Amino acid sequence: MGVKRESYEADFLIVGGGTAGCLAAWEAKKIDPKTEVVILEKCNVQTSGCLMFCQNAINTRINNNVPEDFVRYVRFDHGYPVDEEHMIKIAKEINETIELVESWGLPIKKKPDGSYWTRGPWGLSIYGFKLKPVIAEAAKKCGATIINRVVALDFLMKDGRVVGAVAGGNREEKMVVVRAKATLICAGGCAGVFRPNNPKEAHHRIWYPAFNCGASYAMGMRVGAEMTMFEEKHIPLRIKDAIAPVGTLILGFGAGQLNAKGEKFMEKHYQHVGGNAAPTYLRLYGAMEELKAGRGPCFLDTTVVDASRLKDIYLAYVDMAPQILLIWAAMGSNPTKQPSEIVGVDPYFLGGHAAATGYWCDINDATTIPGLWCGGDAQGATPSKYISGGWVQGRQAARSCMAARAASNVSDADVKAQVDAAEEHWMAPLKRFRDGYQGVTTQQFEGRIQKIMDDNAGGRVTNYNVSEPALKMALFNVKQMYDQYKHIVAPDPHGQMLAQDCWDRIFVAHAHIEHMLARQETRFPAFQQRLDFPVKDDANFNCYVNSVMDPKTREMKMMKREYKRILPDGPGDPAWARTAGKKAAGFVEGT
Amino acid sequence: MPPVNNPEKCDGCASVEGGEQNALCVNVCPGDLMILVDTPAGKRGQCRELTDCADCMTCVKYCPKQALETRLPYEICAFGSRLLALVGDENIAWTLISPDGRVDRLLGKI
Repeated sequence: MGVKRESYEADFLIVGGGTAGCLAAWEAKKIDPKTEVVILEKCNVQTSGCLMFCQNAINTRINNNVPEDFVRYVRFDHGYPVDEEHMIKIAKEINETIELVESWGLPIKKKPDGSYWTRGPWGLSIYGFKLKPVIAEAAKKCGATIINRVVALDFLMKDGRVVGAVAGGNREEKMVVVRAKATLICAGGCAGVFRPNNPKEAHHRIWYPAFNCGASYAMGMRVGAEMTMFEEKHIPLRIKDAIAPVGTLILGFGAGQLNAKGEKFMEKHYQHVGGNAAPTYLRLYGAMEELKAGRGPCFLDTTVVDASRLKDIYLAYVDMAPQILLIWAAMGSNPTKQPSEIVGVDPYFLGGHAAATGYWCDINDATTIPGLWCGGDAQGATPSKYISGGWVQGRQAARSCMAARAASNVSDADVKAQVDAAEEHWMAPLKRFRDGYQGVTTQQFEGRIQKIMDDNAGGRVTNYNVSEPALKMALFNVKQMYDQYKHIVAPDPHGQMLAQDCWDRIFVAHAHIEHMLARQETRFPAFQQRLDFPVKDDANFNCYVNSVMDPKTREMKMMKREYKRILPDGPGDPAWARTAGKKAAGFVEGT
Repeated sequence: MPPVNNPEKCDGCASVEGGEQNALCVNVCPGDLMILVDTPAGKRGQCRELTDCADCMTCVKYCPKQALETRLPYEICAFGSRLLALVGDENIAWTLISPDGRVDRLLGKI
């Protein structure tokens, strides 16, 4: 077809050079230094992915409890269903993995006596500048072949098995084909499906990385992998306009939620579910209810922080969300003198925070498609992994891949037709542009998907509310976008990447709507709510709602999967602590 | 928080080992947004689409000449504040300048 084609053979292909991906490469090489590991990365592993913002905390560490307590905490904070057995497996390796990354140079904040500066029962404070470089360095030094600047497009298949992936260059016109004995998908979650708070020039001033556009999920859907929890929007509360994290202020500085009347509304109305330490989705729900009742806007009471500590707040944020300093300075605000307004943001889809969207997999991270494993934000049913959980997942998935990889690679001839098709899809927007086709730009296409979802699939404009008639409108409009893609144009390889981001988002939007239709209850108020089914229905929906897309028709088959509640109530769960008369473990979502 | 480049400080990374093909801002942007453009004075770094910037400030921190500075989109706040970063081996020296001219300096550890 004329576009340069690079071909690689790998024992282990890692799609996504991020939190999980870098650790997966290192672990695979530790198991067998001679093994051929290839990482496909959209930008530059040094600084890419969720860790591009740096962070000032690790939110998953077993500081004083046991792993089972952490899983009980997750069951409380995220809500169920949660894959408890799998979470225990992850939690057991957390502390050791943090020490491993510390030995590579991750700077963990220490107290004067040399002990870790912990944050609540499950967190650690860190200095964030080196966070991504340290693990990227490990991935480079271990000898993995890192291919930066390529956009993963599709998995390559043979006899129903994933045998590698094909990617397109976003700086150079080229296709990259990697045939692999085992493939790990860990290219993050999805932002940009819903309209953001700042929709014009600041449209990428959102919380989740704007450059994670759902490739992980969409590639899996396109080969019929089973997916879970796509009904769960992840909608964190964030500082308005800056869309800056709040965990720092809540946990690090003790700021609670207030309404415009100065009432501590979480303590006032939601004490029975934890007050300021209520589950993540309820803390958003509480704020939304205050707005509805006319008692908004809502704030974090940062005035509890002594004025002398203003610079401490600044320092906490430069490692994570420096833009907020610019806003405070420009607006003449001092957070120690004025409360900081908080808002619900645009919904995202991910599996690493207090959200469990992603691939359905077994305890060894194997998806329902042979040859394909998943990790990090891409993996479903295992929420609250955060950064260190992503590291652990990379290591655990690598072990599974190395143990269960195919005996040999397929040939170039085996996958040629698929690569040709991928090239045609990837090059089409550029070709149309060069032919002078007056089509749709990538910004326009993205804007249309966001409008459809915002209006009728529970975006901010609806206060995250939907009912069946609205969802059906959204479904019709989103499904039309698959065909509309033939009008998209891109002026250069960077634009081709933006076009692919749009393509992948159609699939994520589609999955979300189908899952919302299927779960006929409200299980996570604010995160997943149905006006037509406003209460939780444990009798029918105390389970996972899963889906499989037919690769040819793109119709989605919905199904339920059993939720196995293993752990009895006990420590780690603030609700248990309350009824047992013990002090609640006051963890609040971090960044 | 899209970056604005000072063309007097920027040299298109001509002085970096390997020259402009190793231009740091171009190398590190997680959104593939930084490019080198031709100017009468030579190559200069530029954000190809300001509205696509996600405000991570990676380019600002990595620029060896402190030529990049963030400028917040006007949609989200008033004009005139500035945040500069100087990365050392163990610290980052931040300078926050308010519109009224007040200067705050912070030393963050790396």
